Amino acid sequence: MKNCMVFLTLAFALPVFANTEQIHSVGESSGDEPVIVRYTSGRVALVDKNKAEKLRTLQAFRYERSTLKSFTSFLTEEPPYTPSVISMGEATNLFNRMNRNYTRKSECSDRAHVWTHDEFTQSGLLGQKAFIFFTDAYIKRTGFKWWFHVAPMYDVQTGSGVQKMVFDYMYKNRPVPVSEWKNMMVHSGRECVTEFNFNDYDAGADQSQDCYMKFTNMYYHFPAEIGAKENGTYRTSFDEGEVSSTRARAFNSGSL
Amino acid sequence: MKTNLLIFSFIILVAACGKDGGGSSNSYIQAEMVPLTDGTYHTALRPVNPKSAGYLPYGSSTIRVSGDELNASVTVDDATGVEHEQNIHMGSRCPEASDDKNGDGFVDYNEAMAVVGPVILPLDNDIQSQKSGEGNYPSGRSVTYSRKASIDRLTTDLWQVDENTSDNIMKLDSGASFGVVNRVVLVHGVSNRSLPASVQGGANSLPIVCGVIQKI
Repeated sequence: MKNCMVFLTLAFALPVFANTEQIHSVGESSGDEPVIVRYTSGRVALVDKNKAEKLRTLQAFRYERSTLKSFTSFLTEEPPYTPSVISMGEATNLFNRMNRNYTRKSECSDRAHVWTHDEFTQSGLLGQKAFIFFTDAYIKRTGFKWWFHVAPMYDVQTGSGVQKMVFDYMYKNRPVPVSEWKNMMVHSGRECVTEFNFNDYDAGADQSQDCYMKFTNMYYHFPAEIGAKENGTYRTSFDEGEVSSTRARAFNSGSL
Repeated sequence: MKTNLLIFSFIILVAACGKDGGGSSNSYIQAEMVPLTDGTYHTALRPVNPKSAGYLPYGSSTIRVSGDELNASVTVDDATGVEHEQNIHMGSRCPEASDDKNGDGFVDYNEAMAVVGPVILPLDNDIQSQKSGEGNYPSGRSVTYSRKASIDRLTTDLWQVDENTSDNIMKLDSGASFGVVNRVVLVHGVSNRSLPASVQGGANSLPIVCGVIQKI
């Protein structure tokens, strides 16, 4: 009976929360310190311990539903993926043709997904995504408002070899090396941890670090999918229906 | 030749007059003035001082021209609900980290002015003339701004004699074209917080987002 009441409460709460951002996870409580709530958009909020408990219950319920919907791969291992390598001139052209008609409230994961999809559709380029994740300690210390950020990334042939460059049209006016992109957000200039499992980060990152960084193929849309990948469920193609709904969410139709 | 030299000298003089009495080197490069024609001009507004507010501010500016009507709009999202001074400048590029000449981690007002040059059009409460908006700029964490002007009226005002050559707002030569291509939109203002003493102009004037306008 109690479970039934909880379910009904959550079910009635869902329409309300459907108009707000979805929760990715709720941080651990420590004494009376505010708890960090991570939204799927990448934003964070600080809430008190009691509210955090309520949100944690709701988040677990929602996560179960989204898991069933999104992860459908049955491959036993991730197929090899060889990113395209482009020249610096091609990189500039690619950057300049990125769809600038994103909506004001668009989320980074949605923009990156549509941008890489559209470039793949137009030119066949196999792009990548650069995900950066921040620790709770860094977020609290700096007042940073996001727990993760993602942008398209391509391998670019430069005079000194192939370099991974991030194409973050909303925040940078040109393709930039990963380190420059990272330093835009990590003001300490410290390097991010790159050898890690997302699921470990998600369960509780090393709080002595500022950030974690993971590169994926262009098909991964949300951080939770990196966690699923570590559990053996891979993204190996674009889901056109998903891209269509993502585009509707993140971009205006027509031209500026 | 003599006229060109005079114009150049005038621009250099105006550019050297910073809001706080100058102090930064004059290095802005003014792009050729492309006259306005019907169509849409746009720029993404990207962070200038990403470490200023624990948030990466962003926005865009669009200018639509149709006949004699100019409609300027700006959107900016940041984390600080303060007044955001916003202007179109004569320079042709935005300040970057390398323009932080004193190395304090911030591109402050004077350092930014050295790059973006003098203001040609304040995007304030009234853009029909440089003065009519009285320097009243939009405020808030999420700014949506739009103002219209008659291009005839606006250019007539720009051709007036500059009555205050000590500010950072400049006029055009009488009869000179006004255009926005390759001009810079710069938006300022973070909430009061502990910035280093080396930051000239303080929080209100700290540049937050910037973009270079192109016709699309």
